[in-house]
Amino acid sequence: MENAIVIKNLCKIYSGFELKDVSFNLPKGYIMGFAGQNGAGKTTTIRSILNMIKINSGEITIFGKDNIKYEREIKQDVGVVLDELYFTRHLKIKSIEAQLKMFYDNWNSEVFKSYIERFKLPYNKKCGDFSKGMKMKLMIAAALAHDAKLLILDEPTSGLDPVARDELLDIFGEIIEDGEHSILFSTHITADIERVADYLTILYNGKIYETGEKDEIMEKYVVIKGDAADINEEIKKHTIGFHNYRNGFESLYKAEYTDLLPDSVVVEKASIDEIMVYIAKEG
Amino acid sequence: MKNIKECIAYAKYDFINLKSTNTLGMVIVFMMFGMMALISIPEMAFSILIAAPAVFNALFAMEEESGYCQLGFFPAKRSNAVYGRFLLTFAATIVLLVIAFVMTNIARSANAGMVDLSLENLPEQAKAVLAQFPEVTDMFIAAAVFLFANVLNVTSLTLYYAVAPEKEIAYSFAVMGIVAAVGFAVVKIADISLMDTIEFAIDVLENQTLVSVICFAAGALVNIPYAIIASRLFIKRIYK
Repeated sequence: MENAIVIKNLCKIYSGFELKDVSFNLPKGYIMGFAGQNGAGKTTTIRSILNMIKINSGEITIFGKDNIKYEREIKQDVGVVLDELYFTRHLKIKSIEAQLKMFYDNWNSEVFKSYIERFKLPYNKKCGDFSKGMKMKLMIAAALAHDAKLLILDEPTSGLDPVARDELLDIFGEIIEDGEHSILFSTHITADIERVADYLTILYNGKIYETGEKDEIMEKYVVIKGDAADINEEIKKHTIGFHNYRNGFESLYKAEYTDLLPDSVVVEKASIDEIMVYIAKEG
Repeated sequence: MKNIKECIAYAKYDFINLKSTNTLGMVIVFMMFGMMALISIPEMAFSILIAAPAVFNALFAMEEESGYCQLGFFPAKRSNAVYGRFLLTFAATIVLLVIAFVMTNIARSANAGMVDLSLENLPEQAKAVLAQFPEVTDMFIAAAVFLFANVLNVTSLTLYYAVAPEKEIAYSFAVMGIVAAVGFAVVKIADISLMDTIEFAIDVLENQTLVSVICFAAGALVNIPYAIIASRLFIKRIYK
């Protein structure tokens, strides 16, 4: 399977934070949700992919090419959407297009115009005055106008109302329909990942906790609840973020060991949210 | 060739930012005031030359706060943004330089009674003005001032790009070093000492009216927010 992104042993050291041996692949034509709590290293990873920061070690390839050596070439095919608008705020759409199209060989004004019209973005308003959802759509329109084969989105849905979020997620689905486009999007709104992502990478404290197909990862964990007296040390070994309350316990649990559980323990499917919360509790 | 194309693209990028923010309008208004003052005070040209790049600096700095972070996403070398900026400010300052000197010479000619600044006999008046042009020493001083102002401006941008790979930063500094060297060469060839330049500025300050002093002060003042923004961005980039 051809990969859009391959990251091998990425390390970036800051004082007080370290991204350690981060490795994952995003296969071409799919959406990967990049989850993790605030400060887990999601943005640092994205900035490394974009060669915005100098990494300490590791290897990043995009469409099989080294992200530093072939930076210019790669960025022709990469579109970036951040949670904050990165265009000059006092510019209107026409000026933004004039600025962007100089840099992209594949810039297509017709495509840009069609997305602007589809997203109902006003030409006569400064983009800094757009609503959050409109800003997101403008950045997506810009990315698609140069036919970016890889979209990298950093917290694109945070701060959006449910309707705008839903619309944006639908757009993601449309983008990858042809099998040529891939999306990596970081978020801490895990419901969005559950809805649209095919792959999932969970980052915890600068390290990869899980990476792979979303459904496989979700099947690996269950949430168990019951009376503390119902579990023994053997069971406890497979728990993650075990918490004992006055009237019982709750924990994330490795699904492969559910056979060990007594019938009195309640077993529920774990959501990504729960996986992340229990991972954080485990510390 | 690709690098040149990218430099021009970045210069245009800057130009679109300036055009869309009434910056050009502000610069033109600034120059109009300066030119009005020039008619009566010829040496005001020097004040304008000092203040004009400062205005550019301040306005560019405002741009950097909002839009410049996107340059790292473009399929172009970030260091070319630095050269593109230099290209634009250099072109703009040359235009300002020419206008300022033409105006200075008109004023000098008028003061010398060679022209009457009326609309009559324009061709003769123009010839008289051109005969006064150029004031070579002043031009060299101004050119040197401009070069240094631009080096300051572009170096700040380079610092802002501390986020870019070190190699590019090093190249940018090297190029700016060469530009600074050209500035020194200009001063050397024209046989102008630093003291001459400072004395010239002091002379302007001492002998001119309040308008002239205000113009100098304005030049200095607009540099303050620029310096604050540039330093803050630099610190932010380094420690981020």
